[in-house]
Amino acid sequence: MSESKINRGLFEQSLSTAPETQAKVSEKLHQDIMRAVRLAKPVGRVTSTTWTVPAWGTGIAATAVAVFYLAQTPPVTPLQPDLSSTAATLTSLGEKLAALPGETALPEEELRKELARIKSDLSRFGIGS
Amino acid sequence: MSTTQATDEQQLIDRAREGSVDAFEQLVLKYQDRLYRFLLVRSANRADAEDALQEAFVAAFKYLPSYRDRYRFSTWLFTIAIRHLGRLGRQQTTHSDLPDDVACERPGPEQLGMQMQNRQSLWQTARTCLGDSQFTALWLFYIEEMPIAEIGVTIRRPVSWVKVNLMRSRRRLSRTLQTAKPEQADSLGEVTL
Repeated sequence: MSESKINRGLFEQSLSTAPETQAKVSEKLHQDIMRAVRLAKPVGRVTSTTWTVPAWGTGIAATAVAVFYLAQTPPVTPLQPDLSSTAATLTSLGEKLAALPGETALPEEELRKELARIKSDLSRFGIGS
Repeated sequence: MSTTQATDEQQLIDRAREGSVDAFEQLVLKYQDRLYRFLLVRSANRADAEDALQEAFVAAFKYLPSYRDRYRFSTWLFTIAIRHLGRLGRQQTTHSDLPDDVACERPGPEQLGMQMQNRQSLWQTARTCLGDSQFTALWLFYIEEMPIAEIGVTIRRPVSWVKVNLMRSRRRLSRTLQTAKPEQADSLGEVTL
């Protein structure tokens, strides 16, 4: 064995047997470490707490949306006809026609126009065919 | 590390990953002294070393699900500790800018002689003379017996850098010891690589 190898061995041995390499963690420090570890939460692990928060958060959001929609007044579309009033008009028109005496001289042309208008109304509101 | 030990350690890691603090405590017991010794020499004082040790283990527990067994668990643990130490800025001042062919100027020969007499170790001398990465590489190589590739990963340096700087560190340390106390250095001899 060469002298340099012996020397290197001694050198390395002195590095690995130095006093610093013998230090130990005290029981108190170990307990402190474990106390801190117990307070830490692993990143990426799903816990019951992480599921609970979204659950009641979703509940609150759903309630807010429901309250918002219930507080709304019924939507009014100006173009949409009021079907109940149309039905009443038709009924009264029918009654008027029935009340007309048979001999009343009405121009045929006027009657045809009236009939066409009623048919048009009926088909527009989806009543009859 | 034997196969049985490695399997036991892997089982502990798996259980700790699932949130078992008891399993993680076994890992802490296994590595705390080794990590503590390293941090003790790298930190400015004992309190800083203890803080860094605690923070390193807490971070290891938090990020354990992201650990992959590509490298040894000890390598991963030392990597965390070193990065924590770097972030906290709790490192001793070193003389990394000195060329490797000159002996370290501080501490002086008398001081160093006294350190030796007071059983202050070579590591204290190394800490004063070497840069952070050089010192860490030397420690991981001799004390942790870590493979050079893993030392490179731990200190974020290429393998070639680790090899060259291990040699330079040994040489510089040897020259410093010869300058400080010839009889002490004589017993160690000039390090020829």
